Amino acid sequence: MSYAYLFKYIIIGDTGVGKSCLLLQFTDKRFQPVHDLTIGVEFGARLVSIETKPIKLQIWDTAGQEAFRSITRSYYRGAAGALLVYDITRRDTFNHLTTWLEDARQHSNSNMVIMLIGNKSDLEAKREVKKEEGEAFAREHGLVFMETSAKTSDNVEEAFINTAKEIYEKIQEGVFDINNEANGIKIGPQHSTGNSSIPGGNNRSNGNGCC
Amino acid sequence: MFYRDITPSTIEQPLQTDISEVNIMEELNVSQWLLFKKPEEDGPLVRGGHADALVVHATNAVKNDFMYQEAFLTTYRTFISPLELIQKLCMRHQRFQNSGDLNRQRAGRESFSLLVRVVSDLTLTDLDNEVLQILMEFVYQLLCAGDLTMAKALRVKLLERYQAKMVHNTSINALLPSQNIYTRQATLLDYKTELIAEQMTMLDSELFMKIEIPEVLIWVKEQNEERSPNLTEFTEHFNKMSYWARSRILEQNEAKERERYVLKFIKIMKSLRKMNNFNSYLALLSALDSAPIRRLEWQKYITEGLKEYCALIDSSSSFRAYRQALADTNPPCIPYIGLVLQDLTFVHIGNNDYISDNIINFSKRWQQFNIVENMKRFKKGCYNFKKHDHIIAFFNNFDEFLCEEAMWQISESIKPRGSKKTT
Repeated sequence: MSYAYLFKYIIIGDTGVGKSCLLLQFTDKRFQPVHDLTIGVEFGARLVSIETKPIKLQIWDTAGQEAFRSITRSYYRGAAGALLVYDITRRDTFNHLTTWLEDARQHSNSNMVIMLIGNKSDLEAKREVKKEEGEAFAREHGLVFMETSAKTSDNVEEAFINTAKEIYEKIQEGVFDINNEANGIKIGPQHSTGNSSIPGGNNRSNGNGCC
Repeated sequence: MFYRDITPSTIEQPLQTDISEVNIMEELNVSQWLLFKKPEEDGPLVRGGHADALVVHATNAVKNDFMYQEAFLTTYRTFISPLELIQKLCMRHQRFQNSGDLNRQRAGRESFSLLVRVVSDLTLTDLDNEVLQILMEFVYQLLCAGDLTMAKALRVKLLERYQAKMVHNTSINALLPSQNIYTRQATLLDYKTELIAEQMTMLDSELFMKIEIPEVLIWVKEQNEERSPNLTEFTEHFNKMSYWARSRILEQNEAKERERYVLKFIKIMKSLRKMNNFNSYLALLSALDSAPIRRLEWQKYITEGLKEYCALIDSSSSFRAYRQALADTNPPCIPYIGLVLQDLTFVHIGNNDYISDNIINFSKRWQQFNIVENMKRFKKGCYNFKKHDHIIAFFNNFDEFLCEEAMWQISESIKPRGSKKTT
């Protein structure tokens, strides 16, 4: 598929906050089968459109590897965007945000766009972290903030697409060096600007939620 | 392989009898409570079914569906507890053994055979007092009934597991040297690269062998350190080794010395790779590639060399390079468990446990089984290195390392933040 840019994302946050569920919800709700036996589950990717430009989002998910904390941090490098996720029903996952953020800032390129996500907004009754607290944290650290529900898919599209918009703006402003792949951005192969109207969310199936 | 694929269309026949009226554990033919693949579909035969039907199918699957029994034994804990399974099998055996019908008697014996397999595969955490008591009682009943051979077979397996548990509870830490050895003066550079790699591999291997496959499946579901004790120990070892290596480099005051250490670690990695020890290889790589170290100035040949080493764990195409290397490797080998956990996590999140009420999605279990098979394959190989007490003592369990904050401070005192990297 043709795209103008490819953005690499990474999803980070404590175990069990719903990182893979967000990814699953945003991509086509299934992990791509890979037929070569030596290959595992493919990472999520999806085409979206920002200002009529087709943009491929390729998302790295380190879910499951969190315990190997000495290695997962090296994945930050080469990402243009990060979704930093906590679980609004678990205070400890919110308390760990500072560590995650520091990690991300130290290990990634300084222009990486970080979006703070309070996930599981469908579990209002079990809420332990107020929305205002998430907003305050985001303001203090210069992040974009959003509450999502990977279960009902509420705000999931927006989270991924708004991050892409920010990255796109940074490219327009010349902040990102798009010729250096280490920034997590790639220019599309033989991209033609005429081919542009890719709908933002057309391939959603109706499977039941995973979390 | 990784389809999230059970949809009603894969159901070949509707489930016929109302299960509330029958006890499946007392049936001979349970196929009406199982879901099979369609003739035109590839892959394993059994796709799902009622838990009891899956149990019964496992008792008589040896002849015609050997892999199913293996997959069942590996994954049953994800839908039935060892205690429940043991109770059901004991019950089925007792119900059938005195029957006049030959088929029923055979089914009873098959239940017993599966029970013996289940018992010999019990993990240390599975074997709690309740399970132990039920099995002891069952052995006693077999004795009373005069089934001496069976009673003995079961008792032997049970004792084996029980003793393994006792040994585990009292075992001394294998990572420590056998004598008190004074190594304060020694440094990493004093020991031969090859020997260091061997000793690292020996320690890894010991911890890797201790990991029980069910722990891995449980970890993905629950992330409970108590229920996955050996896996937790293995992961901790990995992290500690990585921080230990970082500390050894950063505590050197001279740039030249730091470089010598980095070079030494690179040589060790090379040696580890030859031994197929991907675990320590990655632990050291993650140290050299960690931000506080990577951001410092290094000679070009070091940064270039490191790039080559990083290629193995490049995450593109879902770690294609590493997976290919692993597929080409024969045991003995210590794989990187992080990727096993990641694959299992995706399979767990991407597939429902049930197809419908009470109908277990066994396709999901096949996927889990296939992933952990790769671990099992390497648990069969064994390294034959001699323990080198001096080096083990020098490692000191990899307990000596700086905290991350301290490493950053050192890194920034060597090269202040904001200064440009020249390489």
